[in-house]
Amino acid sequence: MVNGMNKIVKYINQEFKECNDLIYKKININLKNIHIFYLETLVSGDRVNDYILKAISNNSSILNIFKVIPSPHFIYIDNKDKIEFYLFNGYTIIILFNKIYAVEAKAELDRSITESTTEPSLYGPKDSFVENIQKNLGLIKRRLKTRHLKNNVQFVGRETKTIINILYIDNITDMNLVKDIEKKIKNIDIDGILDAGVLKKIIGNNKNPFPIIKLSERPDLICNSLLNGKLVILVDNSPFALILPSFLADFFNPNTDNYIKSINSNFLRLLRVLCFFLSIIIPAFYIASTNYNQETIPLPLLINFSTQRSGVPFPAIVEALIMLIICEILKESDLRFPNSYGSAISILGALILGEAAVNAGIVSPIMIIVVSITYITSLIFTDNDITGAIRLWRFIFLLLAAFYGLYGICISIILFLINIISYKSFYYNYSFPIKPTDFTYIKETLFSKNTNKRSKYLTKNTTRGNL
Amino acid sequence: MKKTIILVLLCLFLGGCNTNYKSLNDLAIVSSIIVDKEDDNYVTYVELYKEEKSENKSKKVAYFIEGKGKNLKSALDNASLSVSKNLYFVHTNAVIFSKKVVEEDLEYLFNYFEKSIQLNTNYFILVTDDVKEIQKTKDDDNPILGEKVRGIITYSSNNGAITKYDFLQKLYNYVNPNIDIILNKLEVKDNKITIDEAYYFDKNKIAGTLDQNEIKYINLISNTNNEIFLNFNYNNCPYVIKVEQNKTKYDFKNNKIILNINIKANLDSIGNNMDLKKINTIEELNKHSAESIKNNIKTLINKLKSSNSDALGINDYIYRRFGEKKYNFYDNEIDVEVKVEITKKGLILNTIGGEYEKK
Amino acid sequence: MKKSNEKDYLSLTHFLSKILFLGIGISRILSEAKESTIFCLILGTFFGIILLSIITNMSFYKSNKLKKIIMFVLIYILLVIGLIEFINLINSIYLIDTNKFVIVLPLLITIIYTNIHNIKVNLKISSVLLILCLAIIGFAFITLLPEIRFANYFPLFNVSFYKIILLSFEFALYSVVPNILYGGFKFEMENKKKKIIRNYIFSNIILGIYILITQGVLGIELIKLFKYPEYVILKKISLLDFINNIENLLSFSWLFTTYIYLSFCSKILYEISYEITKKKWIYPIFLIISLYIIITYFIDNLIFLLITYDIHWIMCLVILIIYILLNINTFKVKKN
Repeated sequence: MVNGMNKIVKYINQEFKECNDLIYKKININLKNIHIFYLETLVSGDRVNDYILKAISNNSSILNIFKVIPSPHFIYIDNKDKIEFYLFNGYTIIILFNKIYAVEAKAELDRSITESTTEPSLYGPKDSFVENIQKNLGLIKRRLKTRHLKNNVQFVGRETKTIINILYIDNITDMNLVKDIEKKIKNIDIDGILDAGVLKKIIGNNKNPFPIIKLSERPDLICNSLLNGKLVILVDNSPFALILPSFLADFFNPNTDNYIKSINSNFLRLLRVLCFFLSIIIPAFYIASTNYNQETIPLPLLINFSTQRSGVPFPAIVEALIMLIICEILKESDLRFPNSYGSAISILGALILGEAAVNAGIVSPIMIIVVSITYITSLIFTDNDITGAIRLWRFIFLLLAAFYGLYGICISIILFLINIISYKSFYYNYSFPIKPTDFTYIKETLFSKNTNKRSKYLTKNTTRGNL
Repeated sequence: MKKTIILVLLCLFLGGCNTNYKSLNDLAIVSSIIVDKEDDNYVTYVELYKEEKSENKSKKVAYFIEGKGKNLKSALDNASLSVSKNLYFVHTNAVIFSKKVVEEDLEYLFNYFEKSIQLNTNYFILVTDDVKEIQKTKDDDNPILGEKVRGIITYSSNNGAITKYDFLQKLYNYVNPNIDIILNKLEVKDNKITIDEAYYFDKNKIAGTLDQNEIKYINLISNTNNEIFLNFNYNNCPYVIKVEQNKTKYDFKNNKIILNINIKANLDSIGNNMDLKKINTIEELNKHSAESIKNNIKTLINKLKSSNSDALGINDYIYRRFGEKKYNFYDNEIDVEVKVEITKKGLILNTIGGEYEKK
Repeated sequence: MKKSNEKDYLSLTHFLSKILFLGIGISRILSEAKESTIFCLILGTFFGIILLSIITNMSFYKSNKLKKIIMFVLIYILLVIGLIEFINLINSIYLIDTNKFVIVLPLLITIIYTNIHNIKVNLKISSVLLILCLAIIGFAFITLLPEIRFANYFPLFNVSFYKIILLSFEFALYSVVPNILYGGFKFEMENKKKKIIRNYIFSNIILGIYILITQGVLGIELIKLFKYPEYVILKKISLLDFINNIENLLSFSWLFTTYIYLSFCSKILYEISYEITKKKWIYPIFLIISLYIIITYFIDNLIFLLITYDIHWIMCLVILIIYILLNINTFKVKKN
């Protein structure tokens, strides 16, 4: 009996040889040896003192250790291989009478709940996810008080053993999708998943620049998506949740629109859709109309354009490419630099590009207007992937317009349509709700209106209530 | 996605053979074209836009280039030899023919300008007697001839004294065998460019000129201009009516063509010595104006008939209605019946020195 | 069959029955039938319904090799007819000085790219583009209404009755013959015939309005002068005296129409060639090379174009007759 206990202690000491934060304590009470192990970095010392050590030492009968220790997470471990897992999850291991117990005494390593930084809003709830999956789950469950909300737990990563929660409401979400995703996640074999973004890259389609999974840190948006029949994946140590399947229409509008009157928000929604297309097409249209189809420009504007361009040595397409690339660089450097430097870059960019380049005759003022409209319109979209996709398509449109004029734009519109329509978000069509047309989901995303239905395409349970 | 990119790149490599590329800097935008003829040679003067840059300000000006050739195409090509840019015709405002060209080859001109795909269809065509003087005259109002002409026709024609049709509509009239065309005459008066008269045609020949008043009646009959101002004199009292609504109907009775003109008009201005509060006055004005319109139209029709020109398109109307030529503008007698109804007095309550003040 | 797929499928009718009017049908019927065009439209739709009801039950996706090869040739001819008009349109309004093969190449590549995907993608694109096209045409209608001169519609009876019948038959041919493409792939639904005819009538109404507006704005005498009267009327659109000359943007609707038609033709050719040769890469190479030859030796030849302008409807008639004969043959075989 004693030998067995010593074996386990020896085993632990051996395995964690160079882990200097492992605390080992041997207590002798009533001639019984109790061994306690924990990782000092993950475990709160106070809790170990208060809940475990005090309880054990105060009580004479340690035979009923179950009753003695006032912790809800008290687990009996039958396999010594599991010790490692529990140790790294903030448990304290107690070895007594040849038996291994794990008691939770986690330290508070995460920050408190703060306001969302990537999806800020004027109205609506201000809380956002943190790096602790339990807290995140709590934020969701606080909102969805139903037993139908299931969370399927999986551990992924050979070294990280990251906790991944697949959330769905079992009477709404399509169970085929759930099984599919579960299978996909189970099959992941990788050393570590450190953030939700990594998981997104693994299970999403990487050939097409348009994202099929939406990242969000707003619990209200997550709950709304769950209610619409979507599936949410939470990853431990990541303040972002993955929403899938996501469609192009989902990326246009922030969820916070739901807290404004729909008449007012609809104007903004239309504007955003317009911005999406403008951002892709404006430089191409400028190039096509100034180099091939000048008749589309009214005469006063045409004369104006031609005088502005008169000193510029480059062809318009080169000018456009230079400006677009410089703007990309500016945007990137502005994002990467610490905040205090950020303004310096904008001033530099604005001064050099806005004033000096025009005065030096390198670019025409109208091109600066065109490029800035392009960028302003694309800045409406917060998702990095969607801006990336817009950028790629902008260049495709631009190049085709530069060689074929308006005809090139027509061709690129068709290419864009083929690309979007043939694209699948898991086994759903990415162009949903436009194609296949579904007015319920259009009301949900592109055009806000109160509905008492869910989209047929996503779920069989279509009634939301009687509104 | 890879496929798309490959496709786009393929398109681009092959698009290198595209010769349609015209940079904005290489365009010489044409404002107007003047066509003249000198001993069997066509002479074209092309007006081009130019930007004059002075400090911080740029001003639009225009200049003419000249080219001669056996036909119009070669004349225009020769003109373009003196410019370092591509001539760009789409935004042409006006094409001005000299009287000589029009008299000799109107058909050729229409044919050339219809076929030319580089031109748009919404420019105006005019005729002028003196090509040289029109080029020399620099109007203070707008020094660019083409824009000046467009401005006059689109904005000044509100009094109904100019035919407003653009090239496509003129072409419509020209190719229609039953309508003769009218072309505005551009001239220089007191060192200013104006449109005062118009030429009317008998097929391809110039049949004569129409003055402002006659053009107004042509516009009135063909319902082409919404606002027409007509001047009359009643008992030494001048007054102007503005035609608000007009319907011209044709009746055919006893070998006679009857023009039924129903006008609803607005009293625009009036001289003194009239009491507008009396119903009688208005009725008298109605009658008087109707009578004068009738007389004017009759003299106009006689003028057209005598010069064998159907600028009113009455023959076309007959063709559209009967499908065959039962009646004819030239052979049948034409009667005119006019009814005028003054519906509004505008802001005029009464005139100065009218009956009301005599008390 | 899902309902949304059904709509996508039926949206094809709009493009198929419109395509042969681009550059051929509209100018031919208007300049031949003159002011009696409206009767041709009505009678033509009526004839078209009769022809269409014969055709809709026929198919060639499940048939022997010989029939498939004949169909391949027929559809290839249809594709070339559409392509000629497309090239001429682009060459006269967008890229005037550009080599014709260079014009066609991006389109061909786009078509082949479409053909790689499932036929459903084709159908979906067609239904999206239909909405775009209808929006463009609706915009053109509204802005052109004030330009119409009613005198242009009279006198109504300007040509002989015999000619009206002949021309309405021609109208029916132009609008029906491309619909034989429906036989190229399997698609089952309830009341297929009825639904296709309903869509055919709808698209003919829109086409008819377009033709009548062209007639009302330009008049027959002017229409005779222009190769693309349907394009010239767009030049008259002007908004607020500032936005003029947007005809090149509005004629996108014609480009979309031809694209849908050509890609659909090409998809069926692709399927047939794949079934016969069992190799995927043969068809694109065949298409590009054969079209290169046709474009450089025939389409650049004006005399060839002038001849084809007059015999288009005969070609359509021949195609239709061969198609019907082929199918009658298979019916008989089944009975025996």
